[in-house]
Amino acid sequence: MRQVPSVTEGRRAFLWGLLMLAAAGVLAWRLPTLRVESRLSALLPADEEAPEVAAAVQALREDAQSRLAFLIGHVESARAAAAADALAAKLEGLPGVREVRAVLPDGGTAAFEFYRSHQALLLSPDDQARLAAGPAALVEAALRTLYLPAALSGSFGFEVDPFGQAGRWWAALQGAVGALRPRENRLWVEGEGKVWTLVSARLEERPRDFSAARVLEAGFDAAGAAARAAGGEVLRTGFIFHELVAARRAQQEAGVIGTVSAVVLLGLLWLAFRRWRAVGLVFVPVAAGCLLATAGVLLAGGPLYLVTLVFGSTLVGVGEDYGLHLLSGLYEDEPYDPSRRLRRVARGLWLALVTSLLGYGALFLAPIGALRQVGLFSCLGLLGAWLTTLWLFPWASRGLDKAPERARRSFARLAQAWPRAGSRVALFGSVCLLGLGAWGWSRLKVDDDVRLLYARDPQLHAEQARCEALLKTPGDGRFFAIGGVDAQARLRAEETLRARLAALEPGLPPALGVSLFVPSLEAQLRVREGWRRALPPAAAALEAQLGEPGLASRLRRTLAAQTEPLTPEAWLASPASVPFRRLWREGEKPLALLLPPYGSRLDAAALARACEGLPGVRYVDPLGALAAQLGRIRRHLFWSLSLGALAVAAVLFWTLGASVWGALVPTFLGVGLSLGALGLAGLPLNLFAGLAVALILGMGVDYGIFVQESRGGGEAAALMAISVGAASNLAAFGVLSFSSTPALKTIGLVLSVGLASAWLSAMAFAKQGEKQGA
Amino acid sequence: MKALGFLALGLAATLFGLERPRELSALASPSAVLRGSFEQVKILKGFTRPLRSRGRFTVLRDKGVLWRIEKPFASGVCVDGRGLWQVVEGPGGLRRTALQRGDMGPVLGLLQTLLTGERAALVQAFELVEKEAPAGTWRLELIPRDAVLRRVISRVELQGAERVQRVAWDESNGDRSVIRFGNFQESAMPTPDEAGAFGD
Repeated sequence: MRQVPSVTEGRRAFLWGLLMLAAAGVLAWRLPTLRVESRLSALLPADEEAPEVAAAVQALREDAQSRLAFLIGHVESARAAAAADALAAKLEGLPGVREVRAVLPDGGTAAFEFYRSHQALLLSPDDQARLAAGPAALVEAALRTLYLPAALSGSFGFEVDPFGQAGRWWAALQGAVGALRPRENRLWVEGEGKVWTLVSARLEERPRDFSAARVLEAGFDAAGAAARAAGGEVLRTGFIFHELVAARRAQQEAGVIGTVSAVVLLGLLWLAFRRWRAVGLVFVPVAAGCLLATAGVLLAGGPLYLVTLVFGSTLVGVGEDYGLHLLSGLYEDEPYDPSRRLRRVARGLWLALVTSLLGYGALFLAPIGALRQVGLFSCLGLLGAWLTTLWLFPWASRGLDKAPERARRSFARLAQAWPRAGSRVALFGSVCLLGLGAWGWSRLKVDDDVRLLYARDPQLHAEQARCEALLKTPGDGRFFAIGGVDAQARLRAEETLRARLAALEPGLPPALGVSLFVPSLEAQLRVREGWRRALPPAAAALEAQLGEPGLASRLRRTLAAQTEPLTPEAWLASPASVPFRRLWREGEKPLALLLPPYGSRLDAAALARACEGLPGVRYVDPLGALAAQLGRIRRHLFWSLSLGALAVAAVLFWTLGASVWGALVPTFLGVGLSLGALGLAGLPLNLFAGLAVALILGMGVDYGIFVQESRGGGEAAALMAISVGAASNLAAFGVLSFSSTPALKTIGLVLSVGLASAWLSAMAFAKQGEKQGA
Repeated sequence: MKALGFLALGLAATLFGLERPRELSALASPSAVLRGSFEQVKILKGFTRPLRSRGRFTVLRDKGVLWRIEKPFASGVCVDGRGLWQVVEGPGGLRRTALQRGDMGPVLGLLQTLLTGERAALVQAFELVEKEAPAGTWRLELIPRDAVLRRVISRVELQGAERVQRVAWDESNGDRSVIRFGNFQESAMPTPDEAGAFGD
């Protein structure tokens, strides 16, 4: 006989509907203006002190992310050039791709012309020392220019560069800039037994969705194929290539992982309940919880972090268990009656909600906006899931037939046969697992490097590494930010810092910054004074030694035409500065950027020490800062969770009394073993592992509560609830272990191991002696 | 800079002898060390007399070049993977000080490609034109492809038989140098002096 829902049940369900409508209304109202903050860098605290540095980091990042380049190699430069042209032709017209360049506009001579009238003031550090040493060194230098084969002196020729310093300055400059050299209107680099020419482009806008990404990737592939068809070897470098691979993988995985877990999940729920209405209901609490939570977070204002959506909705997954706990009344001996079932499990549900709110509410204590938002989201979401179970389920699940006798019997037998805590099998199993876990813990490493979160494509990384080795371009994202309103002071600070870096790592090219091209006025005037003192006697000595009348005055005229001081303004306005203008940021708070040279092995601490005592100078390491912040979030997550766990333990101790261990042991076993598995798998402990641990804490405690709170024949139902809950979560998250994205793999692995251990050990704490299905 | 790249070409092509212009790939010398003597004449614009110098050179394969002027005064330089060095006689042999530090990568790279006989490196730095020459000898004209280098050096001429005997180069401002080579000698090991000049 079908039971009719009571009036109260109907009213509550109606109330639930209203609540959801309101939440949907809020969502619809805020959705048009909603911007999800997906940049990881948005998690960084705002740099109140130096917004100009943050702006520079942002500009550099955008610049780096928008650039892409290909190196096209062949043993013959003509073939490489032809292949480069074939590739460039294919790049033109790709969506969002602009400024495709295979050929230089001026052959690189404009810069050469620009420096001519300033050339005598631009000296390499070695030449500065020689000039200061006096006329004798100048005479020697001139004799080298005159008597050595043109190139061995490093001079551009006696007429324009009698002392060879101009040629040597250019050489030093090129070392700092990288290995690319202009030749016949193209940029070339030699290496690996080939000559390589550069084709560069800028990506104006990144693809918006998967299909646009596929179009772009196919376009790049076709361009590479065209170059290879023309005989060239193609190396790619650029952020976008990695992004496209990640997008393709994510799409493929989302398909596979989504399908596998959906099929397994549905199959599992069907096997458990054999009622489609029950299967459908299982999903409602989490969906309703997420809706309510999103609305609440939107109402609270501020940016909505992607991290909140991902982490928050995962944590709300705990709410699935509330509904399951109610629905597993289908496994009770009596015919299913939701009101009676609710009365039986009410205490357990209350306890589960309170402990979860305590556990995740602790996230509010973290002084990090994103983490507090995750806390708010998960608490609201759990509340929504809980309300759904209490208000909607009695009405919506009324009239369901209890599970088929055979299914109930076989599950009851399984539950009965499961080894109990204290039995030999359980002890032996626990000791083995704990030993394995301890071994894993000993291998556990903490690493918050952002790059570890992304999937690596070996082929792409190999190409990128070869490009870097060939190009030798400085700039791995780290730099020195040199502030100060006075441009000359910034140039002087750069020079001091460059000298310090050179002293730390002699033999490397000089650090790249504007002062390399435009020395400070002070340095230029010092050089001019050096020439004024040393040149006349040196010129006279040369004239006498060579017996060439008029040589001295010619030398003086040559040098005089090259001693016009160079200003940053003139340099910035010239074509010579084009590739380097990003190193000089104007504005209210101007900033100069100095990049450590390619090949520098100095670590962050050494670089930070190098700029100590220089006013307005600071070392900036955006990736390092992001890793540090993720580490900070991870630590706060762990601390607040520990605090929450203590509070939860206290509440449980008070309510459960002696059987508290049945709730606590599975939880801690789950956390301990899952982190051990992380160590064994060689994956680092990071924020994502922390999220998974949070979920294990929430679910593990609930498993324990449900089992310990079940009384009078309700045990089979409780075991059924946690078994279905754990198995469905294993189906949903376990597949993530097979993801190629390390971040997802970490979540998947920690959750699978943790939930499985918490579930199986909670089963072992089921009360002994009670016979089910009798 | 690029001018240094030219050095590598000039010297290496010179010293390791182009047997035939079309078969640049056959020019590699089997020995680790090649020595010889040189005589250079430079005709400079605005100078009344040509500048003459002579001395000895050493090429260490895979390493670099040591160039020692003996007349009219003693002076030496060495170029290798770590920079351009001034080499002077000291009490304990040859000593070197940096003229220009840093990676001479492209220079040595070019030198090495020549030594291993990769025509590509030569072809990509210079346009090669084969010239008429008496029987048993050859003549090759090289024009720099690099726009900046071309402003300094307009053309190079290599001439030889079994080995390069003469290199002439014209600078863009009208200066001209001619170097003649002779007394080639090969060996497996550098002398201690030579090793010292290379910083070993």
